[in-house]
Amino acid sequence: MEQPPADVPTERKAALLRELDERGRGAGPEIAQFMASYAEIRRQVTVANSEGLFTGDDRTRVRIGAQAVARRGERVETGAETLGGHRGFELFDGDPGATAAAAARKALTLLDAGPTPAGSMPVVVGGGFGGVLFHEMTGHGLEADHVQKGASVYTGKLGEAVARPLLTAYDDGRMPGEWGSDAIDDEGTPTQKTMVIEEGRLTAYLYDGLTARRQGAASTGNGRRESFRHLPVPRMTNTYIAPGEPTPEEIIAEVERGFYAASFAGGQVDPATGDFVFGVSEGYLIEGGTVTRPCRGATLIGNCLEALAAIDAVGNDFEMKTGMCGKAGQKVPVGTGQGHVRIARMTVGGTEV
Amino acid sequence: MAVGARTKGVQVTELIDREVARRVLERALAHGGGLAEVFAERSAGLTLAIDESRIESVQSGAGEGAGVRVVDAGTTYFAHVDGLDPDDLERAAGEAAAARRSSRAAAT
Repeated sequence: MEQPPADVPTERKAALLRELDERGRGAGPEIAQFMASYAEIRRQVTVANSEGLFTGDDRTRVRIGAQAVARRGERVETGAETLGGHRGFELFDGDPGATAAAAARKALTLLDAGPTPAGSMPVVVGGGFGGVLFHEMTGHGLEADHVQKGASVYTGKLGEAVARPLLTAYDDGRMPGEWGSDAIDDEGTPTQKTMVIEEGRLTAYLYDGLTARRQGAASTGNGRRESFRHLPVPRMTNTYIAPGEPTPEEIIAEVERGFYAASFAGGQVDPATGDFVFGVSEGYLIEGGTVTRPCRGATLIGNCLEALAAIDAVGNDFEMKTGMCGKAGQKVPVGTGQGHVRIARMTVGGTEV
Repeated sequence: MAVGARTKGVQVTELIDREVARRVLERALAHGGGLAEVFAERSAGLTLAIDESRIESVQSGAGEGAGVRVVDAGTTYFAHVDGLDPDDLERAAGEAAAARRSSRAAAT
């Protein structure tokens, strides 16, 4: 860590927020409101157990968030963006204002959004925040406590093909500087890069100490807890579909009529069946191989196993985004990410048939 | 379970020293049990926000505490305390051990 946040004067942090504010409001006259936040947290831990383990860690995270509200007449739309990492203040040496500009752009774009077409069609999921789909529909299903309780559609599927051979996915707690990374988990087990899907085959679950013991397996370093007041449970760290071959443009060019989902907000997965509904916070039509107009109020309706198996293209781009994942009444920082991914066919819920 | 995990750098972050940890774990397993663990934590944070172009709130927070758990045949007994006073940690260990003992007594 190059710039411990504790060594950075508060005035510099305030100046960062003012810079975000200028960039956000300056994005266009229709930006009606803009808010931004800065957070730094340092967490020191020491873990000892009766098997002779004695270890510790010193973790610093920083994060900025921006939210913009755009207004045109009666119509109001919002956009949000974040930037964070398991790093010091040097994370903001680049162009943090771009975070504000991105939030504003999303809000402004939605002012032009039209109704969403309803029906079954190819869906291209964007990189970065698009990774939330994989996190929700597959990631949680690989957490060993869900698997062992039978509350996962991936129970009993180790070794089976769950996706096409073009898809490989990881949970990686070691990605340098990423929001979901730590050197050790909250049981003192070193984190690791776990390949959960290898060329379409399910190869690993994510274990903490207790679930590992139950299985006669080794902990994968996924035992995480929000604080000393909570018990550890298997949690993701940074979870992603690894980059593939084609460019995003090539993937989209092959779609005659479809939907492009750039970001998600809200959703539900039924753990017993794998059926899900996700709200799309930023969506567009794809017409004749090009992304055209923005859509509002879209949902994606599907099933975890079917959607994963229906991914027929994985792009060569990649971006990780920050998130707070809630489970068992506690939140931990996670990274979600991917490049562009295409699902051959999926039901898009909209208002225009 | 990992034993002797690697850590960043040479120095292990020691919020409690090894002797305190040893006593706490011993107390936690005083009435038996499979595995005991003590997890000590100190956190400090700062948040700032801007709204209506005004720096709105500067909040800093800090806290420390520890959780002790005893795991026995798939059941977990857990107690946590604020602060890192060794006496408080031993008390938490005693609570976890007592919870296990009374749970087993109730089962027979």
